[in-house]
Amino acid sequence: MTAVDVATPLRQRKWLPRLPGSWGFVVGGAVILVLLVIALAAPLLAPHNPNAIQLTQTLSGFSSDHLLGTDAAGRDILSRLIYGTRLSLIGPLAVVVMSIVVGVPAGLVAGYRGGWVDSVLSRIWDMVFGFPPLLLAIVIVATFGASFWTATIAIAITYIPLLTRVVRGVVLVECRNAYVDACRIQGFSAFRVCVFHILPNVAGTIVAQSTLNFGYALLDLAGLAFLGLGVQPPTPDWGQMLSDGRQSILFSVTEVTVASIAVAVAVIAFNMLGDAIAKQLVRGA
Amino acid sequence: MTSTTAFSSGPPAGSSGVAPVLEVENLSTSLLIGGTLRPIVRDMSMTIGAGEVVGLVGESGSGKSITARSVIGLLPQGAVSTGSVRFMGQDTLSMSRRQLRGIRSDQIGMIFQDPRAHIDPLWKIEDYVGEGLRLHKGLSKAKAREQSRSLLKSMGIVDADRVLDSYPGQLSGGMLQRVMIAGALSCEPKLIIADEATTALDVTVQSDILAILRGLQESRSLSMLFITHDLALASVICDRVVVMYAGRPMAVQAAADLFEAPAHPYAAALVGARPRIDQKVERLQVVPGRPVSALEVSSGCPFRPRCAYAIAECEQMTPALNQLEPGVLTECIRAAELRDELRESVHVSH
Amino acid sequence: MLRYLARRGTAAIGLLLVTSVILFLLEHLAPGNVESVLLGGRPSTPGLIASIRKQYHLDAPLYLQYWDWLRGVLHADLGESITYKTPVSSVVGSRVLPTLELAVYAAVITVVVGVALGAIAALRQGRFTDSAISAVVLVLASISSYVSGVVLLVVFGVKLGWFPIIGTGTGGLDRLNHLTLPALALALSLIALIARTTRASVARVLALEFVETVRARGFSERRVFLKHVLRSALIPILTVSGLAVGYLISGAVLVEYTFGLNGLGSLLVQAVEAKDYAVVQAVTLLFTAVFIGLNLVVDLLYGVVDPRIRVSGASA
Repeated sequence: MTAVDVATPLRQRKWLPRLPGSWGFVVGGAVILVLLVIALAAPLLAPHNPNAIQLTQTLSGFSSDHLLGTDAAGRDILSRLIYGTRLSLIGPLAVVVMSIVVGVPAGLVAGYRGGWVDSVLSRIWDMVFGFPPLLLAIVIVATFGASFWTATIAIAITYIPLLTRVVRGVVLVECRNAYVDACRIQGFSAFRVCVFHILPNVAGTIVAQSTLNFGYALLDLAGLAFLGLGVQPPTPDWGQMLSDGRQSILFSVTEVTVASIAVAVAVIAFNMLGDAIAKQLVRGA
Repeated sequence: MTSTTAFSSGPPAGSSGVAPVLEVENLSTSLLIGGTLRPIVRDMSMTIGAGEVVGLVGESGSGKSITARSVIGLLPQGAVSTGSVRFMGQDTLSMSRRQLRGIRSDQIGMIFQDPRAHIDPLWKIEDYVGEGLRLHKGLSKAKAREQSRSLLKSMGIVDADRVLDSYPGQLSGGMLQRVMIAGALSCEPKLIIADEATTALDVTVQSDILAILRGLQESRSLSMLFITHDLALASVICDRVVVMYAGRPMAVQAAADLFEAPAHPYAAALVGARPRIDQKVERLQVVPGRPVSALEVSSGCPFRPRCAYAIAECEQMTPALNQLEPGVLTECIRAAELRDELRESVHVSH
Repeated sequence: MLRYLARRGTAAIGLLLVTSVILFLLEHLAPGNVESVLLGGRPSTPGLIASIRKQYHLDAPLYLQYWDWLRGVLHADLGESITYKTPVSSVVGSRVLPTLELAVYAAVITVVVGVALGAIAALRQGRFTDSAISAVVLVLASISSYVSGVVLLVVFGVKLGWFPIIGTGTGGLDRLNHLTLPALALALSLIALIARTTRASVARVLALEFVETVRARGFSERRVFLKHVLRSALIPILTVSGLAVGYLISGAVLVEYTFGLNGLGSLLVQAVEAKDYAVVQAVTLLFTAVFIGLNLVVDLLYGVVDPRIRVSGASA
């Protein structure tokens, strides 16, 4: 009786398809694909050398030669934006790869083994988690000096516990399934059960989380560059451009505007794709 | 129920000529399910007299709860009710939200199935029971506590103060159900709606709660709508019962007669399907087929596909409640000719 | 409850100690770092380095050095800033107020707007308002405080000229005026976090049976929501708020830098650039202590909001 009769709020007719739904997949994926093409074809697309300084033409407005104008050093903003795509994608990619390489095995072991291994690992993650992520990255950069790779490793360190926790969670749930017991009874080694049986079943979650992490890592890395603690000038990078543009904001807002749009669009795209993949997993399950 | 004699079923007060407390006429309610309106209750009619206990019985999904909720406008968003529901002469279907709130606050009290889920776990019992007294009756905190205490005492709770200072998580299910009854009664309503109020409880606790309900109902001459899927329970506590099927009323008759002379093949089938403790049976009888809900019904008698007495006319008939004899209503077109047969079928299974 | 708090308190102190060890080790593991810091601007000769190592007991075992350092920290003695040539505690102390004002301002905006947006979305589930809020929240969640800061600067500071572009202002309203854009920038991405949690939590509570009981008892929708639904929905919101403190601190660093505010965040960035490690340690320790302290407060609030935690903790 209760199944039908209890007055639960019903979902009403939807006016808009929910944003992170299936077309989040299409839109997010398309934007990411475009960014990828731009990054690969940067030398073909960029009208100028991104580092060519032209002190006679600083902070110029839009022109046919400089479609987005020039920055305070007279460099072509459009070209810097296009070349900036490269580091803005390579950094987060490195972060995601590092976090998977460390986080997935750690999460598998913690979730599968349980017991003291799990509690020791959980304590460690709690500690790293207890530390505000950007702060940890800043301290690491302060110790080892500001550079692209220091920043990338520092950010990766803050993402490892996040992914580990997620993987541990889904592995714990997965281990309750009968097939895991079946594998154990057949005498398969823990390694074999984890890698060939559990891992394929939790791979979707790892992909979804890593897609989301990609966007957030992009944001964090650009933030460090913005603070002058990441990519060092004159390398073209979106965070760097935000910082440069911030200096000359009273004279021209073009550089900060295009750089912040670039960062926001990229991050939103990864978020949409990540959300869409996660939703798909829930639906498929 | 072993203590059947404890509850004497009074005479049906609905027929005493006094204006009924609740009058439901041709009520139909549809809910918004998956974006479309689906009928759950159809042409429901019943009355509850002053001080009368009316049972609403039927299988799961027959629309009992939605009927009750339609009465006080407690339906999910997008639900539509038509027909008429008059409580103390006022039409509740056409009431504004504010008016409905007024009715719910001190005219009609509702008791739900699962007290643990239906009482806010973050509030002390004192605040739960006293909430209505303080907001609707304007009592001070001290006065409200005083009154809550005597309410709980009247429900056979000895250490009322301890209970008042407890949180729901610290009390047993039976105790919580008493608390919920106290909350529903706190503002002295005229009508109590008990929706499977004892279903979730242990059998011993169940009979305690029933005794309390019946006792309070008699001492305060409350009217009560008692919803249950348990026929034995209904026959014990109710004056009259309304048997529902597929969102429709199949039969209305005195509770005492239900087991002797069911007025509808469906009622007879329900009685026959009831396991009995005084008899060893080889196999439990079941009502053949699967219960249907109102939204699956096309035309004719909704029980027809499962009915052992169905004839061709059952497919053509327009279902409506007709008087079989004084005080007995039925939707079955063959009720009169089947009277003896139904009576016998129940006795055979006894 | 007491036991629960004692356990949490011990964990918090442990976490602070671990943080201090990490900070200490990071400084000492980086080769040449300590000496170069202590050298300041002086030319590096082997003799000078040797005397410095002697003076600061750098040849002593690491755990003794840590113990000396920790004792100093506990007495608010964090050494001397090489850039300011004054004790670190006074450098840090002078920068606390702007950051505190910014953080409190932003926190207030975040909680008020975040909870309101999330609650409205939950109450209008599946309707246009819900979808619109979800879309806004997705965008807000995707941008960081420095991006929103720059955008706010461009729009309201440069183009519209409604708010000052730089500095903290002087006294009362002017200060508030100067802090509005930074606080808003800091609040925006956090609003997304709080709003998402609130929506999910309120929606979950709305589907619980006890809400039906409250409605059936004839209380106003406002009372149903404020006294019953919101209170039950509060626990996950509190949990996320504790997490949000971390983001608030990280965000403050970026926002102060964006808006040129002279707070702890910009001090930290300057100290990193100048390799003023004593200041980096001090600011980081302070931030961590605040983060851990506020999360301890959140643990305490659980007990206030939910009697079940209070009661079961007491009987345990």
